[in-house]
Amino acid sequence: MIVPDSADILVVGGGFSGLMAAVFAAREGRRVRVLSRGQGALAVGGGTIDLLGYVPGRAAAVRAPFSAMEALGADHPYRLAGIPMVRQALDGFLQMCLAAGYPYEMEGGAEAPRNRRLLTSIGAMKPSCAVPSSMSMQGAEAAEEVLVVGIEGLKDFFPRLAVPGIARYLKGNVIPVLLRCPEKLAPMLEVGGKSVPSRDVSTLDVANMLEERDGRAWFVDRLRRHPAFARLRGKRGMILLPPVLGTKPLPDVQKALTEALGCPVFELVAPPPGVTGLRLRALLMAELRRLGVDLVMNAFVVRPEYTPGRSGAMHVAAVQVESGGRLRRCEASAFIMATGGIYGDGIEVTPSAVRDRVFGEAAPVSSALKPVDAGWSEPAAYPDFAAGYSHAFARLGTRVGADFRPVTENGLVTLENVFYAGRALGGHDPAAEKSGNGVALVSAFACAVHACRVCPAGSAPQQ
Amino acid sequence: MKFLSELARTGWDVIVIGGGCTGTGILRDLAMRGFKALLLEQGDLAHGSSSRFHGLLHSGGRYAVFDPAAARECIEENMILRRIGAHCVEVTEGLFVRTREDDEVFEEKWVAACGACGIRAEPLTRARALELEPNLAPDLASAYIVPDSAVDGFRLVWQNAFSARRHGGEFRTRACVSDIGVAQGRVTGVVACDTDTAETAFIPASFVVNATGSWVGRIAQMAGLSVHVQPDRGALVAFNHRFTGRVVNRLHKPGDGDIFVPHGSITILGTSSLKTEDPADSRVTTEEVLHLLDTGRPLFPQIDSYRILRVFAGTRPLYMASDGEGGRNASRNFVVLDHEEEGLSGIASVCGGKFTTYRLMAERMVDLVCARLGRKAACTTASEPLVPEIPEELRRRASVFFPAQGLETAASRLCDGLEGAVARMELEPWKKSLVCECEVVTFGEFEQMAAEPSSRTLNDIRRRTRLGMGTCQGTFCGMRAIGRLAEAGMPAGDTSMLLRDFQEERWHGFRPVLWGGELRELELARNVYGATLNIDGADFDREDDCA
Repeated sequence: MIVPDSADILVVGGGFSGLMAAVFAAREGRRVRVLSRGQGALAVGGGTIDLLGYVPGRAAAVRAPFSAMEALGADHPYRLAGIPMVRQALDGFLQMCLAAGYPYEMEGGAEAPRNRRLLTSIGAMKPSCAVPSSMSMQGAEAAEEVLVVGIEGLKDFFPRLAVPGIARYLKGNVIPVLLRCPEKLAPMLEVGGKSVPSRDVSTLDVANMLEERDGRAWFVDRLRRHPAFARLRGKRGMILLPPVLGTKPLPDVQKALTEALGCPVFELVAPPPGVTGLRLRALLMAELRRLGVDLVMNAFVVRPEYTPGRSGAMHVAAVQVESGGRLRRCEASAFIMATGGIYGDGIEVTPSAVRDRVFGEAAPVSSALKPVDAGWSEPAAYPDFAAGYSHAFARLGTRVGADFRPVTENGLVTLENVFYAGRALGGHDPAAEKSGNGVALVSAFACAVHACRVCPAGSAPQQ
Repeated sequence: MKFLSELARTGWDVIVIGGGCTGTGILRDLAMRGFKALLLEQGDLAHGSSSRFHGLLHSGGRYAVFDPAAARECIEENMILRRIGAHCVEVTEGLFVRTREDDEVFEEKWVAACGACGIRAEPLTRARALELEPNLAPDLASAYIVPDSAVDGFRLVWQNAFSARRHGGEFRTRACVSDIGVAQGRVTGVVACDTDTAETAFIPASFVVNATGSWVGRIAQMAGLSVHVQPDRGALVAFNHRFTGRVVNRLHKPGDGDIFVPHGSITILGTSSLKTEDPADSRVTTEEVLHLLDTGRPLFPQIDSYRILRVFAGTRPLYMASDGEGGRNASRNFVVLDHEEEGLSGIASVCGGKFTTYRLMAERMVDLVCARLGRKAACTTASEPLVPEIPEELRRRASVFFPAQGLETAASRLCDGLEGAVARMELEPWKKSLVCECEVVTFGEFEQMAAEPSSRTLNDIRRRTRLGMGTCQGTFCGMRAIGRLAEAGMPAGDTSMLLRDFQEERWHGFRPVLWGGELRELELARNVYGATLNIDGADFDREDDCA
């Protein structure tokens, strides 16, 4: 398909917020193009929708995120969006996943969602809201015997590290199990008269292996023959794995293993690679293809082109984009910036300045604080959020108004057809709040709604 | 580690207080001359100034003009260390570079002074200097090549301690000396306390050596003595690039931020100089870092584009005989103080000096101990290498798991632990895979050092192996290391606490430089440990609990 260099809505950024914004806008009948420089943080953080796990000043984890949102600052993206929009965003997401055959589960539904407890590979719990069925831990409270299963050579998952913490949250016995590394995972080498995997093994490798029938057969066979497996006989058992239940957004691997092992199998939260995030990414890519959204990879904006807008604001007519070593000009009626924060490189930080990578001063950041100032960071890496502390740099990002357009300190819109989504937004600290994918989802929805308003369907500039 | 009460039952000739380069150097010399010697260190070996400097093995060029005596000692000891310390010294050579901003008259004085001190300083043309170091300022005024080198402080201290152990010396870390026993004008021993378990014991000895660097005054005070040492804090910046292959000094009157030292894949820029009252002062401020960058920029104009890896600080123990000048102008010479002259026998302190001359300081101290305890034994520390040749048989066994260069690196880190690490890999060959990819540390090496009795925390293992000191600064290897300790059933205490402590220690080194690439890496770490794994979060309220 030949794609004209113009769109109704141009989304800059191919992470979770960018892809979601594109889905929401395309569903409204807009012609959408996405520019993507990298993969976004889905590959790092995973695919659970952590909505709001903690609020500043409160020690305990949040059970009911909607009521807890009232305790957030007025500039927090959830406060700007408002509960009805949060609800619609969650609902839209759940419907999409259900229709795609990879359902997410959320206690309480979109009316009054309740957080659930996920367990992580360091044995901690994490409050999360909407999670794929593979992580739902359905029936965990009834399990009498729980096996936490790792594979030797799988680098960043250690059953014995996870078990002591996990045991605190489950009623049953929690037993660590380590299976020997199979030849399927990595070609074996002869070293010192013994065979060892020739390379490191990641959760992604195991996920690929379990997608194959004989890979699953090996796994089931090995686990069944492990002495610890006998403990499950005649008991209500449960098996916890790192995120390895396939790479595709399908429930098949979980179903097959649950059947073959005779007890429920779930995934724990683990460090990168974010297999569950990559699954969600695959789902979104398929959805975008279905909706006819054009995705340009390895593309980044080098320069915006402005025209005068209304009430002192500027209007962005187009952006110049570098892609594959060649410059192109992309026109659009509205621009959704899902460029990421400091990690995603949407926000650039030098000792004496913090600025938006694309629009600079035209999209002001939420505070004038910079690294040379006192108060830029707290003395501890993970400060006491329960006492209200989080890093000032972490809360820093683009300042937006209620319609997610960038505004000055006095609330004047600076760019009339530009909207910000995701980690680029100021006013939230996802690492402390456990709100990363939640803010990405909600702000993506809000941006799509507001961008569609300034850009009635079919209004894109003509070639 | 041995109980202090057990150590108290051994009859020691000498107790050395302080586990830095000087203390371990003294322990080694004492052991080699046949003394029954014990070293006590309050923290971990090399956790103080011996690892908190730029790692420059001075040619003496820096001191030639203002402190020629120190300069001569430097060049002599530099040549000795290259011989005995092949496993901790990287012979890089060094440049002295005058920029357009620097005084030409000083250059003439410096050239003459180097000549007088016996330091070979060969002039280079600008073209040649830029050919050797292409990242230098293209408009540099003049350049000389001198015999500077890079030295790894952690390794040197460890290698001295292991060498001492081979000769019968003992060391005990986490043993804080809280008092010194005195009876009839003579020191009788020390009271030491385990900083973790609070076990306390009086350990008798015939002689006590105070080699505690910036803490010398405090220890002396316990024996009723007065020694004036002024701690002087120096901050340093480690970059994640080796943008110079040689040490580069700015050729001007010595000042802050004018030395660059390459180490492995990184470069260290130092040093500031600020008077402090706390010998353990390791603060670094953002202003200090910016000041160091400003001074370094005329030498390396691209300095702002190199990612900072971390910053750190240590204190120089500047000795003042009376109310002398402190800071940059204080002498870098050392003194061995025989307190018998003040009426207390059985104790001596070593003050001042510098890392480059640690061996000479140790030799002088042990000469004094010999005289006081009536022994005659010659010093042999200048001729015996710190690390013995790897036996051919072990080399053959190790070559199965290590590439040639990796074997040398492992030998220099592990010292006597190499054989143990190889044995672990022979038993389970997968342990040749890397726990720390940035610094190339295998699981075998990691486990061997974790099993070393003096390793109590992940930070101890870090100092012995360099785990977590590379590009990712512990984001990936920290959890992996703790996970392995748990999997191997090694006594590691509360694993989530260990992991958190390790992350917080690393944080201390980024906090003053949270911008650019460093801040991005930190955000990745917060994504992993904070957002994904919830290292910092509490559970739901119990009454609200429905799971």
